[in-house]
Amino acid sequence: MCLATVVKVNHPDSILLEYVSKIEVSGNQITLTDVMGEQRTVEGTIAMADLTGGRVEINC
Amino acid sequence: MHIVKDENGNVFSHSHEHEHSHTHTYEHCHAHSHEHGHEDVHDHSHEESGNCCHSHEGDGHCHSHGEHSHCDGGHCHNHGEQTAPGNKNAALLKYMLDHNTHHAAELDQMAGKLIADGQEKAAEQIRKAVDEFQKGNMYLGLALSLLEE
Repeated sequence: MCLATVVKVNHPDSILLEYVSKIEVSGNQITLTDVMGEQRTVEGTIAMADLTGGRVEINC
Repeated sequence: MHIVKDENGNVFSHSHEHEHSHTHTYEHCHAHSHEHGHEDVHDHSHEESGNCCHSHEGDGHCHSHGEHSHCDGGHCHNHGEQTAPGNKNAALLKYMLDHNTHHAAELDQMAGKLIADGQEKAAEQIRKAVDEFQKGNMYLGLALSLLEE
């Protein structure tokens, strides 16, 4: 599956959102949208995005 | 069985009513797959119940769903349409089915390119793989229909 699990950087157990299909960045606002349409916005920056592994780490 | 493609060469699933029966009788000199997909769009909201509670990282709060946003604890979030837990599996399965369909189409295109490059044997194996993909997708489509009933 190519959906992503978004976690806090250096805290792999702190899952911000699973099954993320879209990530929007506006300044330091990152809006995560999962495949069900649920959204979560956090303040921070994208530290790492492993697209084939389905993992994104965010500095927040 | 055959791959159904639109004018752009994209494989697509064709829709049927959820309750249907049909038989396939055909004669072919080669095997290919026939894919059933069940695509339907449904909108839902939680306006009727009004409120729901859920927590983010241990901070519980209750709010109604609709067009609203709020900030607390240093983070902000909006809620658009929220899927009920029962529809989560259906949403995931639909995503996987659509994703598989897309990959099957890409593989089919790759097979075509390999034939053009003179790699007919490899292309034949890929086409067999695509057939198996679509057989599996057919079962996923059936499972999705059952979940959406």
